[in-house]
Amino acid sequence: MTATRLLWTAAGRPRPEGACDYKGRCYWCGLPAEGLGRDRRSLPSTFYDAVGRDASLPGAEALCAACGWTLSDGVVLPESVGARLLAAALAPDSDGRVSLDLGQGAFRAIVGCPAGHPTGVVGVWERPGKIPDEHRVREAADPATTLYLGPPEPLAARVTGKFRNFHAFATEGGRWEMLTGGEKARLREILLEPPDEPWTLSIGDGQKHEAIYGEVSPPRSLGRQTVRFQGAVVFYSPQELAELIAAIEGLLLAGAGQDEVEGGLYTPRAGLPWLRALRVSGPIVAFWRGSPVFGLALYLRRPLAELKGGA
Amino acid sequence: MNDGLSRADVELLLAQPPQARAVALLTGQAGPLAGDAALAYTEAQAGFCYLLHVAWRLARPLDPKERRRRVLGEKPPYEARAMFAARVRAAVSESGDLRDFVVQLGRRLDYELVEFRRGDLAWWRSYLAAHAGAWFQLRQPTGLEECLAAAAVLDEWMGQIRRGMLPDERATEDAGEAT
Repeated sequence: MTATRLLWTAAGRPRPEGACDYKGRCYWCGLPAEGLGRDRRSLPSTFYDAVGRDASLPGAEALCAACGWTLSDGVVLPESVGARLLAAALAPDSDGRVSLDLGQGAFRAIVGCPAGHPTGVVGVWERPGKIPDEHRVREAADPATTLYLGPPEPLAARVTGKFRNFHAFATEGGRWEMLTGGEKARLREILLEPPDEPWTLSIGDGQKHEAIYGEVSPPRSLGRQTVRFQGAVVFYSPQELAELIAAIEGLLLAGAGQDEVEGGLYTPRAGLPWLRALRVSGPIVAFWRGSPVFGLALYLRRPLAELKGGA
Repeated sequence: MNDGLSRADVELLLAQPPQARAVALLTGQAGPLAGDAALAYTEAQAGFCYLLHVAWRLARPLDPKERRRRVLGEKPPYEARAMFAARVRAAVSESGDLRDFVVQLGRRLDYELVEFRRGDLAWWRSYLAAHAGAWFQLRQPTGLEECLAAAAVLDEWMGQIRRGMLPDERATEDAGEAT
């Protein structure tokens, strides 16, 4: 099982963007496409230029549905994520922009709850650059320019997003989560206490595709775990990662800057707390510095304000 | 564990010369590191930290008039510490042994060995004879950072002991040991 298949299966085998009938093997992973695929010509040329050489079967016509789906820009998100994005778009200080899929593919809309529809959401198609501010849905009273989309609850299950904007997590048992960069606490929780079944997690920068390079990690009980993190596959032990995060946080809490922790050159500080932090945490951090696990731990560490609040 | 020295520590350490004070403090024989083996330094490291403390005080003396003429004297404290650490690292990377290190550091901080107080000079010679072989351990990046941190803390403790001295005791120590 590949990481893309694990994600796709956990998400309920959705139809990818640009889907076509395809019975051959996948251009990317090389596995049989099971009748549904995505024409590889529908992928942007930038994808080819960057990663075309990594394809398993460069001669194949199409990608399997799973690999094609993880490259989509209009993936229907889990309902909880959709509800959050929709609520953010409907907030009074928001610009109302959200992507939806009402059955005929993803499109961008500007949504709102104007006075005429106190319990529902109305929307207008977004054509970038062509909708002046005064036509936004909150101000638009003309029903000809707006569309009643319905109450927010069912709409939450139709919110879409670019796959690469999220950190995709799935397990063989069918758990599927799309996490944002702001959900580091959840990422930390997953990585420090991984599921005891095959799972996959790809942490990207929001711009590049990561999930398609993802690896399936063995269950927690089988030892070292695997995660795709910003361009590299990281093999780690949850215990060691927890220890490293604690050491980094200890140094930061004692007054070190992130650049000092990264580079290992510390400005000497007076006071015993600093000496203690450096003597206790310094060797642990020094041991891992420069390794992929170190980058992951730096990414997962809590912000200083939170550390001080919890200390 | 306290951050600073207790009154008893100060009284105990006052009876010793500054070099022995530094070693006693950092090896955990006295002071806040006592009883915590994980934090205590080896004798070679403690001596090296004292050497850094001496170099720091030469580059940034306590006397305001003297300070103005020195390399780090005019810098704000944090910047001075950062510059001192950078120069120590540079001197370490260019030195083949401990003796060489003191010369290299002197070039970067604009001091000469003859400016060491008499007691420090004698101590330095005996330290060199006893711990010359420790250089390869001392120059390791992690250990060096720990020594730089300890030198900063040591400076604070030495200042506290100095403030605990009576004015004539302080003058005797300065006069008796200055070249």
